[in-house]
Amino acid sequence: MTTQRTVVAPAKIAGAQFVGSKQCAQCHAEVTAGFSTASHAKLAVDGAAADGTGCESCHGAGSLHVKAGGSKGTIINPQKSPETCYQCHLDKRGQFSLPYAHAISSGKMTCTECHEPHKGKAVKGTGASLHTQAESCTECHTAQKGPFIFKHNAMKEGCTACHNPHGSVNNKMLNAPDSNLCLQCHATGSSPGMLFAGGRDHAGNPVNGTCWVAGCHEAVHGSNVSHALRF
Amino acid sequence: MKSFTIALRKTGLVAGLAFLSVPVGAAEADALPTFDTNYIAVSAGGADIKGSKAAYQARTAKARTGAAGIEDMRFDYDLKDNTTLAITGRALAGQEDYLLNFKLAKEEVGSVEVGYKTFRTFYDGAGNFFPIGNVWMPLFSRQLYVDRGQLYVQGTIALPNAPVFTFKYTHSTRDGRKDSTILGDTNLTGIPIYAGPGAVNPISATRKLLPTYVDLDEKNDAWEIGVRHKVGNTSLVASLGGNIIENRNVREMQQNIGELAVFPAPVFTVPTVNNVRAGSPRRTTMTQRHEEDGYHASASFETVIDSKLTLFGGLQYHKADVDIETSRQLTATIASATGIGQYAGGFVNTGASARAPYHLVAKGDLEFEVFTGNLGARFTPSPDLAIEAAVRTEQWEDSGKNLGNYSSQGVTLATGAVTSYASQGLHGVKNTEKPWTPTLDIRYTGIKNVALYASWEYRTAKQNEHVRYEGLNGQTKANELDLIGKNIKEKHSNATVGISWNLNPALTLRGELFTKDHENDFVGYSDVLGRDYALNFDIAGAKLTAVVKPTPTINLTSRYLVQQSKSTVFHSGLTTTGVINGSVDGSDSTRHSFSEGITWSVSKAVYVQANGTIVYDQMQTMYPWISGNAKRNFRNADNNYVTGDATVGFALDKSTDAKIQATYYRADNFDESYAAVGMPLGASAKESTISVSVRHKLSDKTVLSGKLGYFDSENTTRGGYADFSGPLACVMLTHAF
Repeated sequence: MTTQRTVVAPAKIAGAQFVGSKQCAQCHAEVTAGFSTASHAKLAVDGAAADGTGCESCHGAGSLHVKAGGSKGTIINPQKSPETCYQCHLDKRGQFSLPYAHAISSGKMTCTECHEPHKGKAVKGTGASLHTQAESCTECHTAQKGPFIFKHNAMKEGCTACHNPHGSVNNKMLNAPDSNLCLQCHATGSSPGMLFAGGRDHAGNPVNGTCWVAGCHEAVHGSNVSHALRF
Repeated sequence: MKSFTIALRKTGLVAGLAFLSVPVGAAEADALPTFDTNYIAVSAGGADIKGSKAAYQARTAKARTGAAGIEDMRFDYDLKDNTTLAITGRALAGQEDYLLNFKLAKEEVGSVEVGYKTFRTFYDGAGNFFPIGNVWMPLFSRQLYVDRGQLYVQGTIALPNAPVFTFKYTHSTRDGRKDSTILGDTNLTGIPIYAGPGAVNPISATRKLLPTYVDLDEKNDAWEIGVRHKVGNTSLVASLGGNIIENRNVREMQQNIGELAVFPAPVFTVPTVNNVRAGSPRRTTMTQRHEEDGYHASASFETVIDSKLTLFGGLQYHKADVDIETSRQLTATIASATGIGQYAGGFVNTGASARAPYHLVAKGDLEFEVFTGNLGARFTPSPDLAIEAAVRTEQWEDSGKNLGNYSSQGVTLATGAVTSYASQGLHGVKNTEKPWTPTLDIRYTGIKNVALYASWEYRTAKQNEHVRYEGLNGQTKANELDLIGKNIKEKHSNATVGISWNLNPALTLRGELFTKDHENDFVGYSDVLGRDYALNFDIAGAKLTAVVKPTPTINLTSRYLVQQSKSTVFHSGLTTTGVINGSVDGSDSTRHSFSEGITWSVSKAVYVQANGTIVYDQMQTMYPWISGNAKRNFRNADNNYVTGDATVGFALDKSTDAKIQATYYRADNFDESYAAVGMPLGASAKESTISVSVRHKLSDKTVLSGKLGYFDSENTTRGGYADFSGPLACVMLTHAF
């Protein structure tokens, strides 16, 4: 069926060999200079057994790139495809293939819009960064940014308290499709037959739908007219 | 063509890079040629869909009309004086996916880049399905989509041995109509509504499943200029920028469609003054305008003291003024003695805690101001040990007000008389927050073939949030000057420890343990004096990864994640009846995720890739410990799923590569039996795709690609109404100049 001609599995460079990160630094010093501070650098191990770790873990073996003087097409650019990231983050491959996910699979977003592979924390806005993690989200989702007169303090926990940005089986990438999402924090007690949330019996409400449906707490990100987070 | 590969990847993920795209990396002489410069790829393709075309579009991110045009192009020109011009583009009609980018660069001078890009995202606007009555009410024949576009200009001036200047301007837009999960309600669910004196429905017939949509009109103009320079051992970065955000989003919601209550109504339900009775159709239009005008400035440094010590830090300031407007236009259709009429608002008076369905128009303004600073040190006492300690601090202040005008009409059913109500309410906020976040990161590589690491961050914050709420209850304004104050304290600790161990070139093991301990304490004062609320959220978990290379041609990667989340909620001081003082288990949720990936280069000319993920995910909140009707009406939330894909790529002959791909997705969380007492929302679906693609070299500069595929999608959560299936076909011609 086949002929013996080179076909390689992604994400690899056909015919290339590992050359080590020091080679990369000769031309890309501005990128490699901060890599020792990167979350990914924590995994780097020296020694012969660690062949291939460092820059080439993500960019592919670099010998042909070096030989070609850095020409395009001889090295992998992970910004063009998430395959490089999926090599280790297998679970994210599964999540981004779910019905509700950010547009990584369609190529309209890249992992690096929210993650920094070359320097500092991999999740942008964490640690002692001047920016906050939520800013990665609100850069695009400005309508959810606020501030609002009446805040939803869940926003202080970050968007991931309710959404899985990598993908979900639930619409709007929600961590749960129903009232359980809210009751994680708003369950406040129960008498027989009652379901208290926020000090009020809501036992009859899950019958109808979620907490944020019509006539209920529609303004879940914050409201300017209702302290109960309604429009 | 790339876009059609993407369609398969969206529907369950085809493993591997887009086979028909312009691939990267086939630099071996006998591999098919790849083109990275001076090429154009044109494509055309489409699918023959049976079933829900809306669901097809939403799931695959593909237009049901098909698409054709320029898939990809890039041209590079060498101009005079070490100057290059790169032009990249894409123009897929039907898909409405466009890009045009110009980049002019001159060595040791800098670059300027100008471009525009836009792409379309589809939504199905389906609402939810209710199994008892086989209820499915797709209200919209119009396609739902949002176009996201961006016009941008950016540049760099990078002269040798001089500061590097950067500038960037972007005009981003989101324009279109998308679905919403804020669903309208209906009684047409198939659940009997008992009528007559003394009749009591054993369970509400109302379910909120009617589709709603949001019209997005969002603009964001952002600009920033920056400079970076190195002075001695110190790198300096400074920037100044601003934003103008203009959002006007309109949400449309309908309720009780086709459920106009008859008049005269049954005797047992006629009140003196009524209103929107259950079963009176309502239409609500909710508009939110947010116009923000702000600027920000920041400066940071990093100084290498010596080979063992680096200091870094920075300051940032952000201030913005925001104009806000809110309107809620509610129209109710009511049958009374004078016939059927439409009324603004349409009052219901069901008690002091009920929200009246009023008209609302509100206008106000907000402002916020944020100072942020950080300072840290990286210490490398030995080549094997690296320590980074830093602290971040912030002072956030926001304040504002919003004046609401409320109006409504109450209808006396027995006479048709209308009573109008109007009132005003002033809302306001003053909020300050001061978090501190020390962090510590340690990495140790003193053990052969092992890297150990740990990180910790501890955010503590004090916040004072004081709001003024003048709400409406029933027919009259109530809660006037309701001052609500909260002192909020946060203690958020996040910690991670991990190991990466390369036992030998054939085996790498990695493990990481992580915990989050988040304590939030809300102490009320003013009108809510004594209302204390505390939330303690704990998360613990592990990530384990194994990379096994039993032979040079086989790579196996396994990854297991487990996460346990628990929250404890304490509430006290509320006056509502019921046992609500003390601590309760807010949640106890578990997630297990196991993934496996295999790449096998069978021979020089054949490879096999397969990936799979299986996830058990259950969110458990009150269900285990509530009782009676509350328990009857409630369930845990299951979010389990399986995904998989497999690819075989091979050389068919000396000029042709072929690839066979298959994908699979399965979720089974829909509990139909729950419909009798609640709204089943768990995701259940089964999807599979298969495709065969070939890539044929016509010449060293021309490659022709083609793909045939078939997909099948069944969605139980939507009662089968969102199923779709069909073949797809596409071709692409790539030519280099």
